[in-house]
Amino acid sequence: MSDSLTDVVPVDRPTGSDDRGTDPAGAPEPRRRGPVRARYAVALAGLVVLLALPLYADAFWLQLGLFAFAAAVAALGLSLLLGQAGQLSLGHSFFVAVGAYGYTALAGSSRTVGVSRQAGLALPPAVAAVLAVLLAGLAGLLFSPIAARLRGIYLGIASLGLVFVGQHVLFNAPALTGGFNGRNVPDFTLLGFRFGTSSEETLFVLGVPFGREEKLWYLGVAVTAAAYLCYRNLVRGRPGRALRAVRDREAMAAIMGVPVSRYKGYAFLVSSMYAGLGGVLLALAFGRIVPETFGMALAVEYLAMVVIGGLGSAGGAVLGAVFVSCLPAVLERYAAVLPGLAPAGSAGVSPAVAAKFGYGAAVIVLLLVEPGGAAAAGSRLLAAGRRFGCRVRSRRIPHPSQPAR
Amino acid sequence: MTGRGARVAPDAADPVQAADPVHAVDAVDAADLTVDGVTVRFAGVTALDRVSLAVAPAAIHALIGPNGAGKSTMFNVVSGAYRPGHGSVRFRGTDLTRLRPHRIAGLGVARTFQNIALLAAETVEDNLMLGRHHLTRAGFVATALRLPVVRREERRHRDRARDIAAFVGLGDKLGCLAGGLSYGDQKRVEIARALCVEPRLLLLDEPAAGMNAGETALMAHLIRDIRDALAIPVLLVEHDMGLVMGIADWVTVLDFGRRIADGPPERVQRDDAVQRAYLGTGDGGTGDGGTGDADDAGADDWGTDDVATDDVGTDGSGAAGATGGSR
Amino acid sequence: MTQFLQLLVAGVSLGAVYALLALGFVVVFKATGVVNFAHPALLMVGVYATARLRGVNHVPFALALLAGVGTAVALALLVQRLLVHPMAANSVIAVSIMTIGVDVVAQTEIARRLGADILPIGDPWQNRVSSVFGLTVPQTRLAALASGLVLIAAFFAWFKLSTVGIAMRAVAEDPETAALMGVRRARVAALAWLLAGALAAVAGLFLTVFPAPGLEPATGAVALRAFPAAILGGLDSTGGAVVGGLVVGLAEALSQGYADQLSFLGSGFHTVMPYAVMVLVLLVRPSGLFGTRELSRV
Repeated sequence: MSDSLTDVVPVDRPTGSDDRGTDPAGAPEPRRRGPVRARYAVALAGLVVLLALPLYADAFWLQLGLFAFAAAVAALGLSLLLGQAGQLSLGHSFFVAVGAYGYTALAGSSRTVGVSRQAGLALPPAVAAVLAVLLAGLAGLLFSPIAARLRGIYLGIASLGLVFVGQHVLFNAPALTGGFNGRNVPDFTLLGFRFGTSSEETLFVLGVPFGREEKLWYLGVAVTAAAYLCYRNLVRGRPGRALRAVRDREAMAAIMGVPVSRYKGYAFLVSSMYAGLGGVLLALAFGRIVPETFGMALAVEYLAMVVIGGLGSAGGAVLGAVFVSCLPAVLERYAAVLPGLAPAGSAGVSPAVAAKFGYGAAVIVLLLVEPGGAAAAGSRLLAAGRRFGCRVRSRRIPHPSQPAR
Repeated sequence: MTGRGARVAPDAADPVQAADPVHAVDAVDAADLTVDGVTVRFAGVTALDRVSLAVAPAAIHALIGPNGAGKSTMFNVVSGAYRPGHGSVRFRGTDLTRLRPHRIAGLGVARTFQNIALLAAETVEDNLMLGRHHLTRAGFVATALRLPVVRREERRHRDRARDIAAFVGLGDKLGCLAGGLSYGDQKRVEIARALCVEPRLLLLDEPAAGMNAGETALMAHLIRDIRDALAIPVLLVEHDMGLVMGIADWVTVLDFGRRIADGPPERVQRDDAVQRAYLGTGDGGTGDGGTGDADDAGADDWGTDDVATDDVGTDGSGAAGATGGSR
Repeated sequence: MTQFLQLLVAGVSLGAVYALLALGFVVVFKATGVVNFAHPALLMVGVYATARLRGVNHVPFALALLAGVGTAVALALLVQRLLVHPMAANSVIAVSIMTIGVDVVAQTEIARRLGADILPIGDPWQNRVSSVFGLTVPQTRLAALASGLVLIAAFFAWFKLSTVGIAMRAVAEDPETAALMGVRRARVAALAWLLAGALAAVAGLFLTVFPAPGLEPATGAVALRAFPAAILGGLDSTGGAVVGGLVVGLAEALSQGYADQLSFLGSGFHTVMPYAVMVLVLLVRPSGLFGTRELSRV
């Protein structure tokens, strides 16, 4: 077995002197001329499809899409933290919860529901959303000094502790969360436009009635696209380089001028802001949130998303997010036609159970076969030619004092 | 590395012998880098024992000694990776001893690593850009939004990195992944990256390791070119005596963590203590070289010196042929 | 005062159980560098086998327990051979994340089989209590304590004194040198996983007998508390695992017992107490109480 867990080593790490040939899913996507144009074309086509979808798809798919968008944004954050910065944090669902409940409490109004009193500041939803994201970022920033002192798996389990403690607080703060029964999420409003289904008048676009799901869909597309682009810019720029250096060769990075602790703090700050934003979208997608959601299972799901998609890769994070978040509902929808699936509650394999088997097995198989995830499998095909072109072997006679190469 | 340490006497046939005389200034206050009484201990082993040295401005200063003598430890102290138990390090008046490594880099202290410390999964150009980190300011928000100021800064610094790459002879390899390059090229990337820091002091850790005579000669020329072009002091750890005698203006010799000689190359290579350290005494025992540190006679833990490697247990006796085993 | 002593006994016996779990977890980490997130799954599988054999097939308890241990061991070896061993060249974080996948699959399957049921174990002690020094102690707790002490003592005797135990410590200390000295790393790895499975199954038994109602899907979450125990003791310290287990057990029992006084911390705080204690310890000792401190190398 390779190095002990005390170095922080992500799945895709090739070391300087003993390159194991695993593909660099953590590296920025390589820049190429011709294929770049093709990729732009594909991206444009995809965008057109996404924008046109609400005109054709039914509520089930739109609702599913909302969950996928929320998951994608959160997964991008975890990919930045784990894939780029190499910090094994298993506490992502905690920061997602901060975003979700932050928005709900800040945008919601104070009132009494039954016997319990719910607190809320009734801020404009757009303001509440921004504040919720900042709040999540603040939580990440507060956690980062602890994180900086911990190595590898110690950080992983400590952050898991954060999830449990956080969930405990959520269960025991009914004023904030409505306790076990949950709390309604206020509709999002931006500049007077309400992203909800109005009972009085219906918005028609090209003949199609636009309700809450349709409107939120476009919000989801916009937010996810922006999050994706920001991520790519970060990864390709100075912050990404610094984070990867911290991940792979921390001591060298410090000597080269990277303030290591500060950058680990930045990584937590940015990643938890992404998580918070994902939390806001998740709350909007659910419409009503319960503390039960934000536990270890969700944290493991986010981890599965980034692993399946490929650590550090933006496209991979999104793909992984779509896969893991949509699988249960898709399996349930098509349970009748898929062999082996039985209705929930019976003795067979229910769709929810099958979905768990699915992504659990996907994690196992992918790590066995392609540790870089789906993204690495893809880039492996594309980058093969490029690496061979640069391989230069010097024709020198080996000197006895040379290190064996 | 067998035999490396034994080449103390200058090889008359060695092409790298023509030295440009640069007058090294002895006075400590005129020196750029002053190391004063630095002591470093690891778990009972004294890696450096009250070592002092002074690197004159624009001088090529070689730090030599048998394996395990403390040379890489000294580099780690200067660049801030280790904090010395005693003593101080000053660079152009600034005390480096208590500074974090990234601050020291910010002052212009750049180094290469004995065992290549590149990011194998990144391109050569991106590896070089890491050296530009302390000179650039693009933060998370500005980069995420890809503001024009960030794009301009990136372009400017990439141009500079490309120029530096061309200077060391890597101009055509900028797009290659660093992990796919040959060993010699990787060493050059290390040097180029150190140059990208825009150094005021350059620390080169065994730049000629693993090279044959021809490559060593090229490396010697490169080091001299760098010094001449930038007029900065270069502190050099090296085992190749030909290289050292050829280009160094001043030589400091360490053995068992202590300084045993310090002066111009010709004087040092004739020094008795130095010869004993490298060649051992006649009775084949542990070369005491006049240092006889009781803590660590024949200590097996000198692996802590070559901290960039994982190796343990180099025989620190300094006897010829017995200096092998560090790789 | 009696309440305190009762809680102390409860805490120590719970601590012994957590210690067994943490020990298995740490042994795998020491021998292979892998963090086995599937550890709770090993527990669940072993206890499920025992409970089913008792409840459905009415197999005698000792035999059922043995079969349960065997099942957990079989799963552990299966995972090690088929999944961990082929990944020997990958980074340990990759392997550790892979074990998360194993945990998801295994625990999902057990949860599916359990459905909404809570399986009683059919142990010989049931809900009988004994009087010890004036305290009323459930017999299951005494059994847990006794078994824990015996197993832990046996483990350490074996670890420190037997040839195989020394071989395992050698691999943990310096795998390359151990291999050069003739130690078969694959064998040692398999042995470590085997131990983990066995210890998990026994620990699982005591986590599901009185006063717990039986085996339910939530038992996995209880088993997860072995992780903070191992971490706060120091992930590469077997002694630390035992100490960590005891600390966590005591903390949990005491916070559960004094829940009324601690009501401001919320109900059910005792389930979170292990993690809170772990974070506090890590703040002071980032490598755990007995873990090896990291030297940064260039």
